[in-house]
Amino acid sequence: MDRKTDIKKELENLSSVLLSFKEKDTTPLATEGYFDGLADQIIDTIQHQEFQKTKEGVLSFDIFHHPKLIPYLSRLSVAATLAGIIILGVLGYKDTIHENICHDGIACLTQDEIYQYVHANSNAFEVEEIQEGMKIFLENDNTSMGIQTIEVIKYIDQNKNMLDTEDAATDIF
Amino acid sequence: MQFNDSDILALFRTGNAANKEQAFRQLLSNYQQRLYYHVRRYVSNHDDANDILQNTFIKIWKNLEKFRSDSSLYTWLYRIAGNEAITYLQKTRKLQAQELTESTMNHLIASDSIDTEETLKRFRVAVEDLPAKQKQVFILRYYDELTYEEIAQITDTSIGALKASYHHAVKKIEEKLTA
Repeated sequence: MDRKTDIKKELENLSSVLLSFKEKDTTPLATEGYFDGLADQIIDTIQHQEFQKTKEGVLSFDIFHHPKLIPYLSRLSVAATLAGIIILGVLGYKDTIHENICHDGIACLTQDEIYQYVHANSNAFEVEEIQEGMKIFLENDNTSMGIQTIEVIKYIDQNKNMLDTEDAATDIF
Repeated sequence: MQFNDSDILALFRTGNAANKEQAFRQLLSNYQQRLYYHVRRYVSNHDDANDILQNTFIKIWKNLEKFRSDSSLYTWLYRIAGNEAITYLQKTRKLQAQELTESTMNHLIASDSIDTEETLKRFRVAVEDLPAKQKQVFILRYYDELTYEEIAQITDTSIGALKASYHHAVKKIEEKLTA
């Protein structure tokens, strides 16, 4: 007995209703041309998956697969940038920093120290006493540190832009 | 040139990429229609069958090298396709059963007389409603006309259990049709 007959006979014994359906029932057909492109479609999918797998294997140390590296590198780059800015800033302004000349003993004091001193001793002297005390320095040509008017004008002219920029930077309100 | 199963396996096992692709193309050519219509009986529409079939062939590609020829190639392919279909049905079972039953039954109620086409629809719904394993046995026997020995290889079940399962499935469908 062949396979088909065997199955048919078995079904006949189990249910004559189902046997009648077997002759009538047809599975819905696939859309036209579906099988023509199916093999290529499946092979493309497989090749794509294999490629992704290989790529992942090769780039196993890709930073995108090590998310912790990204914040670390970001922080590192920020730190390096800041360090660079500081170094460039220092080098850029190095030439503009002049060493204080402490011959007269005043130039070595900071503005803060002068302010604190004056504030602490504001009642210590009368105006006349101060003027008297300063007279020697005011009258002495050396106290002008030998800066000529022409040099002052030249300096202001050269640094005009810097002053403007600083004014603009603080002009935030 | 038509390759048989053992030719396909031999070519695939050479390890050469071009040979592997050629062998797989041949396997697709030999089995794509049979497996499509097999999985098409588990699900009610083409798109679902297409998804199942694609997953089936991807699994076949990945595992073909490990196939040890303990069973015949085509029973192994049916096994993968059946498992894929069952997994798919388990994921979408509730939704699908509801859609099928509602749409088909509404249509049946609306018609005054149940003609052959309607009865066939009813029959398909009854098959859809079978439990997954019972449905697999029914499809393999009733539609694919496999022997119990082949079905036993595919489902890893004893022949006695398969016969009982098929018997129950037939009776359930008959009951639904005659109710």
